Amino acid sequence: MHSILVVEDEKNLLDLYRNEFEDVGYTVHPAETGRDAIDSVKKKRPDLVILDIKLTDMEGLQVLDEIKAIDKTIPVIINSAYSVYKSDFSSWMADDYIVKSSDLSVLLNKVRELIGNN
Amino acid sequence: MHVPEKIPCDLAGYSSKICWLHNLADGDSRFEIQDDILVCRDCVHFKDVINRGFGRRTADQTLGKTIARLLMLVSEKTMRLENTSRQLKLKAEELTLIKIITDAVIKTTNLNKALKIILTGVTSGRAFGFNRAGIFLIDERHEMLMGKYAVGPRDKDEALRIWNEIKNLSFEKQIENILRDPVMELDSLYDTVSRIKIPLTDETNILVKSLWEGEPKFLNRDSINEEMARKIGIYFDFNEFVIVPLRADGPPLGLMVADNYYTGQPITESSIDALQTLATACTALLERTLLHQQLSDRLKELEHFNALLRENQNYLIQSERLADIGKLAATVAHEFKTPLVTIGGYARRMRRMINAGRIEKKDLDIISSEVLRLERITSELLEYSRKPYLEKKTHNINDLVRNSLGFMKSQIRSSDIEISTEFDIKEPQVELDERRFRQVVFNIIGNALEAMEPGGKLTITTKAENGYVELKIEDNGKGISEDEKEHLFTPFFTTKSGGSGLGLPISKKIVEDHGGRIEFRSQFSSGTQFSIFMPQNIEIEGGN
Repeated sequence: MHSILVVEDEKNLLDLYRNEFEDVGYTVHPAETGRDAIDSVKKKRPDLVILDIKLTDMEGLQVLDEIKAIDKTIPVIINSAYSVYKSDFSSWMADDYIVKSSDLSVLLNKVRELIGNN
Repeated sequence: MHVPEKIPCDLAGYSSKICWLHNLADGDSRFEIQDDILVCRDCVHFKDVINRGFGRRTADQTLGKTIARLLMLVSEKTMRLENTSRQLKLKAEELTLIKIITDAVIKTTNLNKALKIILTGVTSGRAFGFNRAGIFLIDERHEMLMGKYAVGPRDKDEALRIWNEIKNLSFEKQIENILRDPVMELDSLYDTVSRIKIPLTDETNILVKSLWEGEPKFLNRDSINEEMARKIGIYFDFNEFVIVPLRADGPPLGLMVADNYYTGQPITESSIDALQTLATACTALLERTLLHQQLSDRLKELEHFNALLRENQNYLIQSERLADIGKLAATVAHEFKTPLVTIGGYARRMRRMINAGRIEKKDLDIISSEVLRLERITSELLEYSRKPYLEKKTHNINDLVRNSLGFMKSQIRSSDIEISTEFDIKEPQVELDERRFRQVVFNIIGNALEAMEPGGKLTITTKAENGYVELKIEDNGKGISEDEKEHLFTPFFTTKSGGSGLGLPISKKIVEDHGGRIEFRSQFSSGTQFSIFMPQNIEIEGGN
């Protein structure tokens, strides 16, 4: 079973992602802060990371950098309310970039594309 | 050898002089005729000879020769006197002209007009009579000797034309015209001379060299070296010319150059003297005109910069406002987007779950709480952007703070914080909008409670000073980092999860709407102190 690390500082949204991805059969590791996310990557080695950029403790792009330093083969999808970071050089390291939406199908399709169905 | 006795003059008052006639009568030729003929005319010996007539005696012959010589001397003296008188007349004319020139220069603050008046004088046939003349002034800022003005024809044809034109125009009239012209017509040589700029360091240039020497100088092709002649030749053709410094007591102001290029009339020493007198007389006046010009230039510059500054300031204010609005709009959009994505996400999930018959109450609760959150952001935004309308009444600030603490009792208890108050204020009356001020107190105390660990200490004090009441709220919590300090009052800047980022900006706005101010001091990891200063417009009597 593929595992996904979802990094999102909005608790309600994080719960939503967890429910939705678990419903389609993924194992979800939730993280509310950048620090938790990095720890989780180290310990749990998820198959994919969904990363919000605006976090309370760290810049999401810095988290991306550290995740890729730990294991650059783990695909990371940036999931942000802002589209401006797409043009930020540091975000190019990510495997994909999605502008946050209440329609999770786009995100789900990207996940499937990158790590396949369960 | 017989040495004749030197007999003193008989006339009273001249006894120190020797009577030459008496001695000559003795045939001694060593006594030359002195310049004392007026004395001799009254002398008895002289009269005696005139009356007696010439005889055959050697003495008489000698006397005859002497008288002839005397008569010659008289005629020479007369001529010299006539000459002196002519020169005096010329000098008087020069002085009159200088007075006309200086009187006119004093009347203008326009440098070009002042220069034109002086140079018109120099080229006027009435006294100075030079063909052309120019003035060079030192430009200290650029360290240059700059050609400033020149009067005179450009060539022989123009010379004839101009001289015919002004033949019947008195010098006074010419000056009057220059002073009266609203827009002064520049002379044809102006173009040439105003292009001349010589570095003050170039001592191989005769003009610069003369500047420092400070004496009038007559120069011709023979008296200057080839290099210097070449350099002058770049500016104007010349045969001989005169340079006089413009210098009063201080350092030189510049110099005047004049010549007779078209008529070829030799430049006399007396005309050089006259030019120097004029130059000296005009220097102080020119200094004054220059100063005036510099001041008015500076003023114009300042006005220009002032206008620019105002323009830039307006532009800055405008762009700052736009940037603020832009930033605010982006932040508002983001603040709205997250709850909307959450609400939408749960709504979609629920729609799917309806079919599976598994709607969960928890999901509905989340939607409701996110909607509440949106409502709260909206009302805070409205509060932040509302017009400053206050319902002010006189309140006792001590009571108001006590009441507010009462409202927050449960929050304080659950935070496990110790509170100490010190209301050291005798006249605690302040005019304020109670509801809004309470909002400020709640916000700042609330922040303090959140910043402290259980067991923390909150100190609240009030005091009056300089027409303001100060409400100080001090915690020993985690403090504010340098980075956060900068954005503390920026809308939507928050470090707390669930914080709207509008609490402090709104508090600041409310206090400022009252005419007060908020200040804070914070040491990272050891505590923060907020001071709210509210104006106390109520008369305070000296109390006990």
